[in-house]
Amino acid sequence: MKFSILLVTTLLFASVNWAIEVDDSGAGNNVLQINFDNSYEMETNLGYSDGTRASGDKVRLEKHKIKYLKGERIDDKDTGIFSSALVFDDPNAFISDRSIAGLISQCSDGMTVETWVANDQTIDVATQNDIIYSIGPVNNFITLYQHYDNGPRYMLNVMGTSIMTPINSLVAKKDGKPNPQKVVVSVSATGEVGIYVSEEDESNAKGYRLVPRGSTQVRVRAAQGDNFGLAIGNNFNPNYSLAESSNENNTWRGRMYNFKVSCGYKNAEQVTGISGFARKLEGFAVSAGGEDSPNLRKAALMYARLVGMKAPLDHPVVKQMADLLDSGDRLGAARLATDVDGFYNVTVRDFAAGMSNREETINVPLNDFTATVIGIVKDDRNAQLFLTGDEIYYGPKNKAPVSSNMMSDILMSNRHYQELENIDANLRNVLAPTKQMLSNGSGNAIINPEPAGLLTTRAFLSAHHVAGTGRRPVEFAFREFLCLPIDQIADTGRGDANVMDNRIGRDIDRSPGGDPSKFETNCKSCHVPMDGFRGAFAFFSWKNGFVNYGPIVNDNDEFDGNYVSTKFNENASTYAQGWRTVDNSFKNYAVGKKNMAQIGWGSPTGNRAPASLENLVSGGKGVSEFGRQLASTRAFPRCMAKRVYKQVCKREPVQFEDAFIERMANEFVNSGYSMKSLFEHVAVSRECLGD
Amino acid sequence: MKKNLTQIKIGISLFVSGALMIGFGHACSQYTSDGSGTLIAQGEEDRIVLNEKTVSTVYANQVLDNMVSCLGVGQVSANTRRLYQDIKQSVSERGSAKEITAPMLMGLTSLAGQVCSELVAKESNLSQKRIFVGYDFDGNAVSDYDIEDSVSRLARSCWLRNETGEERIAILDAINENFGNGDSVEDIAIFACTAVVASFDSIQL
Repeated sequence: MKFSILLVTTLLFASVNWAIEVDDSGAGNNVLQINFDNSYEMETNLGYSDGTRASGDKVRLEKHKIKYLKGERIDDKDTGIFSSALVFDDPNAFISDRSIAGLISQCSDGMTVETWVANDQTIDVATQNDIIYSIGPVNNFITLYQHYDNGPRYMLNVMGTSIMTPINSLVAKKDGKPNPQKVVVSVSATGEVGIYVSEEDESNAKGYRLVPRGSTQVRVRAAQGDNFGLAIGNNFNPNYSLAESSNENNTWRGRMYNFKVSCGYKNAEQVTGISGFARKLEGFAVSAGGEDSPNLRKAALMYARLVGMKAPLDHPVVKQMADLLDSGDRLGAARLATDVDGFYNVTVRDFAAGMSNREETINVPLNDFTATVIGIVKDDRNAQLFLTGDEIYYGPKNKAPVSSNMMSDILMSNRHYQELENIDANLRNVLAPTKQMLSNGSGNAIINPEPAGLLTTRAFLSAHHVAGTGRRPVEFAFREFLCLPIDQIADTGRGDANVMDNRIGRDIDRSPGGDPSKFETNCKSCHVPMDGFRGAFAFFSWKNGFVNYGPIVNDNDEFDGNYVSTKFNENASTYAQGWRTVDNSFKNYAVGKKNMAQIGWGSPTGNRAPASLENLVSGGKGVSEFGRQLASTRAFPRCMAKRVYKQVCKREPVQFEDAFIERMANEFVNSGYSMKSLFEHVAVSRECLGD
Repeated sequence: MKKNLTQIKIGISLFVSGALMIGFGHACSQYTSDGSGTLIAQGEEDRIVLNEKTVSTVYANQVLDNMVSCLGVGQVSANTRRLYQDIKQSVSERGSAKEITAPMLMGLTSLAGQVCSELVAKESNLSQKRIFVGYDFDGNAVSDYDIEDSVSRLARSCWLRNETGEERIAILDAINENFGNGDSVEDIAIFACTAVVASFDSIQL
């Protein structure tokens, strides 16, 4: 069998003189491989549309000797792929062959096409719909285009359905030199299609990593027909003939280093070589008119509320949950739901996303704040780490095929997290902790010496420490983690010696509009607690797209000689006698009677004696200490209980449910601040899903 | 032309869905009551009945996952994601039942049609189908029995309950009114699926 196919194939390709390896000894082996590394004259095999041979002046396809374009690629050097390339640099230049239908008809379990290409140019209309290769008639089987639509990208058409890779996923040149990219297309026998494009990755021994860039589902067609063939660089044209002008719009210009077709479908994890990163929402057998009991419906509803999406009544997890409800084990049922990936990928993600930005919208890209919340919940760690942790969560290279350079992709941009979202990563499997880092502004990342969990993430500081006067981080810390908007902690301190206005900054007018009473009645109450705390953030700032930290960033415009961000002391002439921030110390002036009751400083369960007033008012130094103080309040577990209630039960808790919220807050503290447990307890409550 | 016809028919399914929603009232009647719970009186529509489940809809971030999960489509295609991004802004951000709008329903219907197309494409490649069990996608007709069977499976998947006889007949009648000889089995499957998935019971949570 192997011999006969080899013989037939050799005869088929003898005239085109390609380097071909054919082996059908097992699934996944190559049925066609062209390395473009033999010595041959392509001109003799091409001709005009009238069937005559080309003279060579219209068609110039030549073997192009290339040493190396951008360093050596070790794995490909082993196979010699980059020892040469075929250059397509003339209108209408293409090579074609119709024997491929017979070759790929062996592939009963799908097929995978791999090629290394370097596109010559990426200018707008000149590179729209340029055919890199087409198997079968264009747009009938598999056609890969170089494309331009708001930016350079690849376009893939499989059996009539098109996918475009993201803008700028096609990188034609780097440093003015051709930039070879590996493009892998895999099609399953049941119609799953994936396209993957390589990115440079210097830390990888192979020098590149394959990134999923699109997928679709198609109805599979057979590889057959008179005009079924392989074309590279233009439309397929039988008998090696060229249409001199009609195909010019589809002419691709670039270099091709190899072209390989192998039998067998490879999913995203197989192509990238990384297992477990892809989200899976597989279908299950569904009955018609099967069991439909109240507990089965309740289990399905609880599943939907916790997992963030519905599953059929016949879903095995829903059935198990219903069995547990039948036996009275409601928490056990909830635990099954929080063990489903969707709980982390949807419910916890959206729980966190709304806290990560100023608009408090959940429609924001994944970021370090959201990923860190998901990570802490999935690892079932103490949720006080939200305010006290020294780590963030991210997707390491061995877990996710995305850009993950600490400086360029995590500290200086949100690209890492955006790409995790783009590939629809299973965040539960992918995320892992790493130390919080900061850019020193000179291209190096150093460990954050003053971490405070989510308060020192890129997302939080970019949202609240950009411009302004350094007060918003305090305002939103209380708002997001204690559920106390600034107007609720407002306190003039009148009659309370522990609540003072001596920390209010020099930029605050004590007589707005010439009326001192306005300051006393309208301004002071918020500024007393807010300005007392704001020194905690004094060494931080947000500038040039990254978190700046005074002691390590040498920027005289942004920080003064004390490493204090200059915005803390701007507009000093407004009230020169006001507070001047000279370090990162803070005072806690939210210790009036109302705030002691609603915040519960140092008394997470509400049963312990609160921290002494003297200790509280003395405040602390830096955002780490500020975060620790917030984390040990009663308001923090109460706030988390309220937020979880809203996420799972779909409304804010009302006044009459205060006792329930207090009970949930206690459960939360007693569980060691387990968010997972909190979600479970809230979800099974009659207050949430009814009796 | 055929694509336009399909779109018109999908549009009709929106009205079928609307009729199902209005006619059978799953949005409200089974979730609110004037029982013994203490009420927060802020007008009739804002009442909160303690110890009763609050009705809500899937919110923007959940919409696609919800459809893919309940239908068991598996991998989400790039095309579907693109459409999802297009319609996402029209969907309630937090899933409030009071934020259901006509553009939201139109967007959800459009997305449901797309996801259903993927389901049908997937099932047409399978020897053992999950939803469209009796459908022959290479044939030119499908029996009423097979349509009803698929509606039952779709209801258990996305409505989380068995369908009623009236609901089953409403969808079947709509199909028989809008499809005839020459229409593909695929289009009928997409229509039946969209009628279920774009209805309120599919998006309520």
